[in-house]
Amino acid sequence: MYKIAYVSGDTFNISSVLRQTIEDINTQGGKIVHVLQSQSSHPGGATILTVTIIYTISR
Amino acid sequence: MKNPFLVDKSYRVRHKTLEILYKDLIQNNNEENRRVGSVRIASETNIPIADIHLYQYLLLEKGDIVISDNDGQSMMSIQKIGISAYVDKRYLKEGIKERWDKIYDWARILIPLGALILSIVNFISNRSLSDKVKIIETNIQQQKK
Repeated sequence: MYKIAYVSGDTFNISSVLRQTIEDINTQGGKIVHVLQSQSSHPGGATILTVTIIYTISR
Repeated sequence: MKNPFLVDKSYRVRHKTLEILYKDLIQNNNEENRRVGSVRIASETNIPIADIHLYQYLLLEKGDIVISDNDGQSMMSIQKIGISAYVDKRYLKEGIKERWDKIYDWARILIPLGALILSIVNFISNRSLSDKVKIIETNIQQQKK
């Protein structure tokens, strides 16, 4: 069964939280199947990067 | 209709959320990118979790926080810009400014309207008063004859 995790934030600040999320997936024994990336800009705000991770957990 | 005398909920929720994230950061010796679950924020602030999930995107788009969600478990991490927003009480100040703007908007309508109503009432009461004076004058003149 596929599970989804995502990290969303300002382009320059996302890396640490992304690393923690990947560590969480590894701790659960998850196997990353696919990683998707999207980016959006907000007027007067930051450029937001979203990294979506699709993973499975073997039983 | 929203009460113009109250600070909008979105500002209060954003400030409270940043407050919890900031305090967590301080309690953990400024550990980089501390993550706090939205469930914990909801329980510590007594704000419904749906509101926290709703308004977190306003914080996200300003770069105040980073959001992570792992299989439905939502977490937030405060960023430098979020710390300055909390310390400066930016969202509370914005909320208070918006409240005064709303009060000003209402006052711009209500004060001239009130003045108009008062002048109409005044006009009507003056007219009936002058009618009475005329009747009294007529009575006096008739009595003189």
